[in-house]
Amino acid sequence: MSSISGAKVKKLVVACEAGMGSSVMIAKQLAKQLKAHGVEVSHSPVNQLDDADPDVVLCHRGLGQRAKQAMPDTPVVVFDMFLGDPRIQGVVDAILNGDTISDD
Amino acid sequence: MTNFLQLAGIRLGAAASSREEAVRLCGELLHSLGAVESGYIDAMWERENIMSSYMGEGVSLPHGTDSSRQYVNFAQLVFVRFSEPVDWDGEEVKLCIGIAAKGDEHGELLGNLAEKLLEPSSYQALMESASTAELLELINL
Repeated sequence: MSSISGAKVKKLVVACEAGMGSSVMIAKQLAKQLKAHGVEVSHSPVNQLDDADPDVVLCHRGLGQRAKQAMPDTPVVVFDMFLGDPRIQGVVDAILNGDTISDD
Repeated sequence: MTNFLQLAGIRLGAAASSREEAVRLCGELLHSLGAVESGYIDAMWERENIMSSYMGEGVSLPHGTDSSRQYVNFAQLVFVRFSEPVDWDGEEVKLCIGIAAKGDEHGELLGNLAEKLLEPSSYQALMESASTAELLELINL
């Protein structure tokens, strides 16, 4: 299990398959919410996560295992729904409030 | 902002008897607009099989694979709304936003679209408005 304080997150990366649809949508939406807090949000194909050097990875459950394999020491938070998933909001709130973010 | 959606890219009252038919319908519309070469349509179905493009709230976002960007002539979205829900691997889809993009140029619009889908009044307009002009304005806003 990996964890990080939300206060230390400077780079949040949404992992994806092709990087054209859903992950772009989530990344841009979160970028808007977190810009004022100096957090960079981007998206990256799951097999290039290492290059993206994230503090936290967000990805759909379907990619969770591959993302964790690629980034064993980084918290990987998985969600089930692209739209309105409480886990996505949970990561945003943790960053804003400085709460701990961990994968479990 | 560049208009990534055009009136000719909006289809209301569409019909598809399967997820594949719905994805191909989006692909063919993108092709008819000149946004993609025909090879992109197969790539959209290929991508769909790797991972569902279902987003939640009755909406899916079909698009090609990373390597199929070579078939994209210009970034474009199509808006295809179905009269009857399409079975999407157990989920019900009423709206497909088909996507073609070379890079991240359409990203801001997609981010804004997520907000509109999560906001009840704009969600209702997207799912029910019969005015293509209204939908065009709402999405390109």
